[in-house]
Amino acid sequence: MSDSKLVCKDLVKAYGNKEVLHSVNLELERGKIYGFIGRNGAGKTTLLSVASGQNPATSGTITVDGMPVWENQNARDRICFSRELSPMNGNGANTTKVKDYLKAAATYMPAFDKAYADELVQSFGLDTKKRISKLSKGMMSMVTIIVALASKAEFTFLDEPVAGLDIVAREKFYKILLDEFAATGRTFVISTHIIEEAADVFEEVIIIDQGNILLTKNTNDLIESVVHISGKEEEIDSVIADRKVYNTEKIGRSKGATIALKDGEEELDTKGYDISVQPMNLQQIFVAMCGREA
Amino acid sequence: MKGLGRNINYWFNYSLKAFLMVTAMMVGIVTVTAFMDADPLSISTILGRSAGYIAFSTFILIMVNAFNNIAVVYPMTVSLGSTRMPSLLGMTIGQHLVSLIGFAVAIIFFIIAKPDMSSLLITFWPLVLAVLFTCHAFGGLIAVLSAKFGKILGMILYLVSIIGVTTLGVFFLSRFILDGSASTDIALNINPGLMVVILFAPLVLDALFFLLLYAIVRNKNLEI
Repeated sequence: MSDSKLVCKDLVKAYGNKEVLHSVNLELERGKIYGFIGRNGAGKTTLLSVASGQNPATSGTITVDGMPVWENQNARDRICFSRELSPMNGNGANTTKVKDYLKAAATYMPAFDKAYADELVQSFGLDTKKRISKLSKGMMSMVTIIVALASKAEFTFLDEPVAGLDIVAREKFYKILLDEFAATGRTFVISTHIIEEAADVFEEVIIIDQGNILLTKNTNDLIESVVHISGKEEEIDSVIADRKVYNTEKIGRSKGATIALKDGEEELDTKGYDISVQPMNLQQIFVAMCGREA
Repeated sequence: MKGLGRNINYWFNYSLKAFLMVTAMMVGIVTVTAFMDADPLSISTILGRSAGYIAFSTFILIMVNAFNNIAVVYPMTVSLGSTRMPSLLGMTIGQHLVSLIGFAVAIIFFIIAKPDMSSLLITFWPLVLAVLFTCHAFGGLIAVLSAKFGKILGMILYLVSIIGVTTLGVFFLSRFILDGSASTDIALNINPGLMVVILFAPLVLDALFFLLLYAIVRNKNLEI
């Protein structure tokens, strides 16, 4: 069980002629919390829905411990993708009551922990008699969080779980998540736009941009390996010449750049130039990688 | 096939709940209208009137659910972890079982209210079943077109079907019952070959639309 892996290999997803995931390769190991970040429309929800077997891939494979996920109940029972709920559904307003939605989840998810779900409902102060269409955005997020956590699935994906939640509820969610993670060692993949707040929770970070996985890396290693430098243009150009550069920007006669340190390099070799070297946080690294400003 | 068991459990309970709500509403309406009528109120009056309403609402539920199930509930079951074929099978089995229960309830009410007319039911039962499966086939067509062409066309087809069924119902009701020409002779004189076609054509259509529906949704991207 400890070696469980969910593997996406050469995964392509297209809607008609538009390809939204380009030959994605991804390996999720058991016992980690992954932060899944990307801009709007980068392909986060699409990747999660395909990786969880909710929607088909155009080509490529998704397996859990070698078992194909698509239309395989045994594999799907090990994955939960708790999607963002919508006040509307295919037939107008989403009139499903919260208690009925939780009951359906309990029917379909073999490891669903009803007592734990009830505990979370109490903890979030959710009224389960309400219809989904009558819930606020934050309350809908609470429902998806409760389903995800109570599913007890080995691989649990949450899509924007904190969208609409106030800061108190967000803090509560992170605490509950970490408690559950410590108790079970499940794998969580959490997509979010509130990066800095969640950065401490993520053991690994996956960055997706325009349907391509830019990187999958330990969060601390990533933060320690990327710096922002600024100084005279020719000096910056000299320093970045043989490095991986994520982003550059010009400010008058000065230039800035976000670059990766080389393997084993603990401090940037500035070649004796008078340039400023600043550490970056996860959000800044993400913006540099996906901002496309330069 | 453990996924099928979960689906039959879920879909049967879901369909039964909808049916019980409609039945309770129908019996309530009938009771209130019976009170308002000058007729002496009796259980047989309520049951007799309820039978027709329940049979009719079962027809309507079959078609309403055909659209609602494929557009709303089926995607939810898939998002909660079901694979596709078991969910569709569970949906179909649950819906058929509940409609059979609905008809059984209507027939029991009818027999209790009008025991002298039970022989008519015995004669006509194959036709009743044929009508039931025709409704399922019609519901299947709505589901197929909704899944293929989207909810707007599904809604239009739903409305057309309701108007069509109501018009046909009124036509046959006035033609064969109200003018007094309804007779067991009609059923008894039907050619046996034609009877087989009348019985099995809806069943075949029902199965055909199920297969078509699966062909459409098995690789379809669900908007959940």
